[in-house]
Amino acid sequence: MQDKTDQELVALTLENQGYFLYLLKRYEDKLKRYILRISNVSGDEAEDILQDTFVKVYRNLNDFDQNLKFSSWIYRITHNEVISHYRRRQARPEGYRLELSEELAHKLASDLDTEREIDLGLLRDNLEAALSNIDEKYREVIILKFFEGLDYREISDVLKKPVGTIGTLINRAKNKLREEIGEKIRVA
Amino acid sequence: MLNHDISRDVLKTIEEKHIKPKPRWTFLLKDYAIWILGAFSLIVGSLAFSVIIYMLKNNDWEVYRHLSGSLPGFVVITMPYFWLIFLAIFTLAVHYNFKHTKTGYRYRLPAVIAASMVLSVVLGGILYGAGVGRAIDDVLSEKAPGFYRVIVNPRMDMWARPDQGFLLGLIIDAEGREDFRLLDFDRRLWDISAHDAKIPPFLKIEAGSRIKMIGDKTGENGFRALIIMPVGPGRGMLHHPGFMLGPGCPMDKMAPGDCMGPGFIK
Repeated sequence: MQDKTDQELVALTLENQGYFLYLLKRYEDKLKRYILRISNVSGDEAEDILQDTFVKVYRNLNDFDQNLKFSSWIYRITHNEVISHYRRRQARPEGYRLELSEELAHKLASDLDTEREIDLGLLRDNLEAALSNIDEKYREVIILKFFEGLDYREISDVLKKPVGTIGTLINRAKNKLREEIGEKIRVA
Repeated sequence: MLNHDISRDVLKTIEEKHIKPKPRWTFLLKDYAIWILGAFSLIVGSLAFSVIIYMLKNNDWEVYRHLSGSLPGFVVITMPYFWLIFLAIFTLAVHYNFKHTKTGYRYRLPAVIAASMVLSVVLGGILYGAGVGRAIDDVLSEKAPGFYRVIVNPRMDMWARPDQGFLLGLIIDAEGREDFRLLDFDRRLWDISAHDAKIPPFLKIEAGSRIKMIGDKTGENGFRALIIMPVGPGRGMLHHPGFMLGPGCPMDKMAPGDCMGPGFIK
């Protein structure tokens, strides 16, 4: 089943639900991490959200638009499920556990054009702190772009916003991050 | 944390609860409903635009100096606001429906609004050319004259000011093109003298013609016309059977019953 595309697995699942397991396995870890990144829920809560997400995906398999990438669609449902979770709890997420690997910190710093200015360790700490401080709408696009590795079109499909708006959000998010990092370095 | 097999748990839940994917037709129905509502909104917007063209084209531009001190002032008081608001509402409805199609979110608000406006203008222009704008105005002003006069086209009242030289109504009888009797909005009968009036050659001065005039009030029921024009938007009001009832109707030549019905006017 490794060689089957997501679209093929969707088609097979509609004929035999057993195939759904292959799709679930393919996305389980990615989506767990994504839920934890965009929310401050506990591990157990993240599992509950993920289960609800997968059931919703299964119920709505016939609504999957073949023009989209399946990954964009499943990320969108996950994103909406996290929002629904907070609506049910009548609370907004606060505090995030965004842990940057060295590679990710390099990549983000290089994109922010701040890499050469400061020590990487310091930069990584500051980036993590800065990511927790910026607006949710900016953090959301940064997570999708740099942590989940989606391109603009995919982010547009996940958040249901025009590609141009995603570009603008990412640029603003980067500026906010630069400001935050600059602020923290000055304070330090 | 996260140490059990969620995927297998989910599959087990699906099996135990006999969860099935929703049938494809339910999603298709929703998609079609959104597209149909969007198309309906676009058509209604286009109809509104065809009426706007009709009203603007027949906006008494040639006599605006008589009706208002300046062109900008005239434009402000004669804009078809009702239809413009109607068009705006249905343009937003097009946008709302489009945004809720499967890939509608990919387009920016200004682009969707602009595309919707362009389509409304093109379709509205075609509908206007086919006479739909005029027909809507006629029907609305005939079937709902009160609503039409107050809400849709308040500028009709600009022509119901005989003391200031503006009069609009229906010709009841005419002796040639110079002398005739006219029933105004308030069903008041006027003796019109049009000896010095400019009258477009195509305009028939005969019983049943709907006209508006600029001139002078010469007595209790007398009016000297200087400019005579056909009634454009709102002419359906003078077609309404009820318009002919009341104090103006029982004239010496006809019984009240003869006044009723569109047959008389035609």
